[in-house]
Formats: sequence, structure tokens, C-alpha cells
Amino acid sequence: MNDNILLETRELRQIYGKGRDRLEALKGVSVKVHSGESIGIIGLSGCGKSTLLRILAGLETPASGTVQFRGQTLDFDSRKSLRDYHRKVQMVFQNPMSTFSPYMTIQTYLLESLRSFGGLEGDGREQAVALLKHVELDETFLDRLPHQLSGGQLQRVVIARALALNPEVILLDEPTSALDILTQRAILELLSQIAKERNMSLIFVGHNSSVVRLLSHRVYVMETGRIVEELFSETMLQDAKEPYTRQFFPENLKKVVYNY
Amino acid sequence: MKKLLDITNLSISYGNKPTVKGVSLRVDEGEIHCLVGGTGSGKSTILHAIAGISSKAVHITAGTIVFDNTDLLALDEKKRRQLLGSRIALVFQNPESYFDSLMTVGDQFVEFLQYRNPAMKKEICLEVSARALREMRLDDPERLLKLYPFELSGGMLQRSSIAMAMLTKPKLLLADEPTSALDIVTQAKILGELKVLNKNTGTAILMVTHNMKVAETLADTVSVMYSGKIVESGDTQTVLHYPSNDYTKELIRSMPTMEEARLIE
Repeated sequence: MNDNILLETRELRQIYGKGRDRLEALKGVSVKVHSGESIGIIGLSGCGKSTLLRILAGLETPASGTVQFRGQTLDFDSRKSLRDYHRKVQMVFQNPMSTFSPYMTIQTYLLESLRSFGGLEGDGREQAVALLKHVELDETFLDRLPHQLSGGQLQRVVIARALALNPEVILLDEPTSALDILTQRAILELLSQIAKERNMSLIFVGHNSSVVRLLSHRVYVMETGRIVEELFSETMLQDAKEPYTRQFFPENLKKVVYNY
Repeated sequence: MKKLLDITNLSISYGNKPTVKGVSLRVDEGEIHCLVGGTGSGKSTILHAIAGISSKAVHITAGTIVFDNTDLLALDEKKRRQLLGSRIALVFQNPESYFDSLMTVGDQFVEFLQYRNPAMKKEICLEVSARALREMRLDDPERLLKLYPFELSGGMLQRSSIAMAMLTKPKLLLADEPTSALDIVTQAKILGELKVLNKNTGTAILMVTHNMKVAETLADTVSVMYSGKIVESGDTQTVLHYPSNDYTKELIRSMPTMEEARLIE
């Protein structure tokens, strides 16, 4: 790993609502991703991790603070700046079912971003086949509708689409929490393989540290809008100091249940 | 131990497709049994058949389900309904689907109680409900009962649905992935509640899960399902540490741990 910083946020703040409903979702969050590095973000529901991810995806404008990609500050008010950024940074959501229109074939879905960025060659069928191949699905899926696919297959299609623009970063919001254990394992292995082959960075948000550490070099732990701990994934089990962080280790499950 | 639920040779088809193929399963009084398997293994189908809430396309083609010496499949619809919601209770993966989103939680508790006992006054119903919620360690239950389901977190809703299910003091609680939609910290707390509830009331629990870790934490005994069949069953610790079936081994191997090698260098 080098000091070459790919993606960086500085003092991100985000506020939702007003008056009594005012919620400070991010209270000054600074994170760094070096090139060739993948990071994880762990926290409870409502800690701000999904807000951070949406801002990193350029889908939400922060109240203050900056996002820099290769040293360039993202201008949230400029369509061109956002568009250039989206080309480099793509997002995969938690629930594959909710990202699909039920009437859209897999081929149409896969080619959406290529179409909007003007990268379509002919009817794009060959491009779609190539994308499916990256996620170990064959041509027969192209004309199907979402409900004809399993959860794991759908998540593969979502990943394939994210690859269409050859991004440098993929943001993953709990990409496997809706899947069973065996399917989860297959998707994690696929993601690691893709990241390796394309020298891509992953930013993986989740609440199970044993899952997040598999695909990250470093992990940021978030609590109520702040980063409370930063750890190397390899040694986080030994290094974690905050009791808050230790809650996310699977052994906690047994401990909590037995002490109940 | 006394047999509470005894399933023998159960076969179920979805349309023409067999989804459960000759399953035998036994749950004793006060026992916690986990049915573990992947998506589509048939585990939820069995749970629905016990509860008598299978969809119209589902046909039980063979076998018996005996609960407390009564053959459930021989009962008529009405007797079946009486049993479900009095001696057999049910909680689901998504508590959102258990509650009506347009009614306050309190009104739903009142409806649940008055359906079984029309003479019960509203104030009494609310008192009983508040006590049940407090037992599930929900703070300020009086306030909670005035809220609509969307105002509660996933964990609070799941606690509420368990509290409601337990109002009738059932002998058997059927739980379909009750913690899979929750984060790991909330998951631990809900499993803790189930354990305490089992200890305090003696209610047996039959839980369906894809997560071996959940089974390990909670269950006395487990059955592993694959493609409509039970491929292995026994004492939880034995199955977990000395699995004999290849599919069980794969399930155990696939559980992420903090010690295994990471997938990226």
C-alpha cells in the first residue's frame, strides 16, 4: 500500500429535519481510501453509515465538508462533476429486489448506465453477455425478468451492472445481509475476485465484523454520526478497544444470550 | 422428555413440485429446536404446514403432524384456527408484516385479546399488553402502545410481536427467521429474550434459520435440511462439532469467523 489517496472525505456533516425533528446524522466524518485499498464501515442501524455511503456515492449533498477523488473536490452542485464521479464510483444496495423494476429485463437493466453514458455498442447484447460473464451467469439470463431470479442471482446482476462503467470504487451497502449463508459466501468470494482482477477498491458497509473484515484492509467503526475507532481488519479482534466495537464480533452473540 | 410435536414422514408439494420429501421431526416439551437450511430447502414450508397457514398451491401429500396427541391434519379448519393462536403461536422474519400499519400497536393488542375473549374490557387488555411488553424489556410500554408500527425500530417491533404471540401462553412457538432482518447487536438481544422466555414459561420453540450461528446460540437440538429432506439431526453441539453430512459441513464452513484468512491481500 502507498500513500496515494484515491478517495477522501473531510469533516462531513449531514443534518436531516428541523426543529424538534432535527437529526445530525454525520458530525464531522473524515475517512481515507488509498489506491488499491478496500475499507469497511461498521455500525449500528442509525449510526450514519448509510448516509456516509450515499454521500460517497454522490447521491446526497452533505451540509458541509468535502469529498475528494484523486485530489479533486467533488462539486455536488455541478452535474458534470457528479457525472464524472459516478463513472468512477458505483454503488450496490442491500436489497437486490428493490433496485429492479419488475417489468425490466435483465439486459435492459444491465445496460442502463452504459446507455446513459453513451457507451452502448449496437444493441449492447454482447456487452451485456460480457458483464454477466464477470459474475458467472450465462446469456440465458438476459431476457428474464427479476422475479425469475433468486436473491443471489439478482445480487450478481446488480454487481455486473456496477462494473459496466469500469469504476475504480464500488460502494456496497450490506450487500449480503438479505442472503443465506452459502449464497453470502459465494458473493463475497466473487467480489474479492473482481476487486483483485480489476485492482478496484471496495467500500463495504455492514454490521457483522466477521463479514466486513473478509473484504477490507481497514475498518472504520461509526457510532451516532462519528468515527469512534479505526482498525486494521487483520488484527481487529485483538486491537479493538471500544466495547461498542466488540459488539459487532460474532462471539458477542453467545455472550449476550448466555448473560441474558 | 414428553413429546410435544411429532412429525412423521411429511411430504408437501408446491403445485406439482415436491418441496418436502418424507420429513420426520420431533420437538419435546420445553425444547428449543432449530431447523437449519438454505433458501428453498423447504424449512419454512414445514413451519407453515404446522401452523396451518400454507398457501392454496401447497398440498400435503403424505404424513402426519401430531401436536400434543392431536393429529393436526385431521382437524377441521375451525379447530385448527383455535389451536393456532392459543396453544401454537407464530412469529415471522419481518415484524412489519405481522402488524397492520394503519392501527396503533395498542389497538392491535386489544383486538388480539378481545377476539379470544370478547368480554375483556379495553383498559384491562391494555394493562395486560403493557405487562407483556415490559416482560420483553420494552421501555415505557404505555407510550409504545399508542404508537403506529412505523414509529418503532425493527428490534422493538419484533419484541412486540413476540410479546403478542406469548399472550396466550402457547406450548409451542414457531419462529420463522425472527432475527435475520436485524443487525447483529439487536439479533443477540432478541435471541436472549427467546432464551429467557423459554426458560421462564417452558414454551417450546421451533425456529427456522439459515444461520448456524443462531442455532448454535439458542438451540438444544438441530435438524439440517437440504432440498426437502432432513440430512442430519441431533444435539446442537454434536452436529456443530462432529457433522457427518457434507452439506452440514459446508454450512458450518461457510459461517464467517473473525479468525479465518481474509479474502483480499
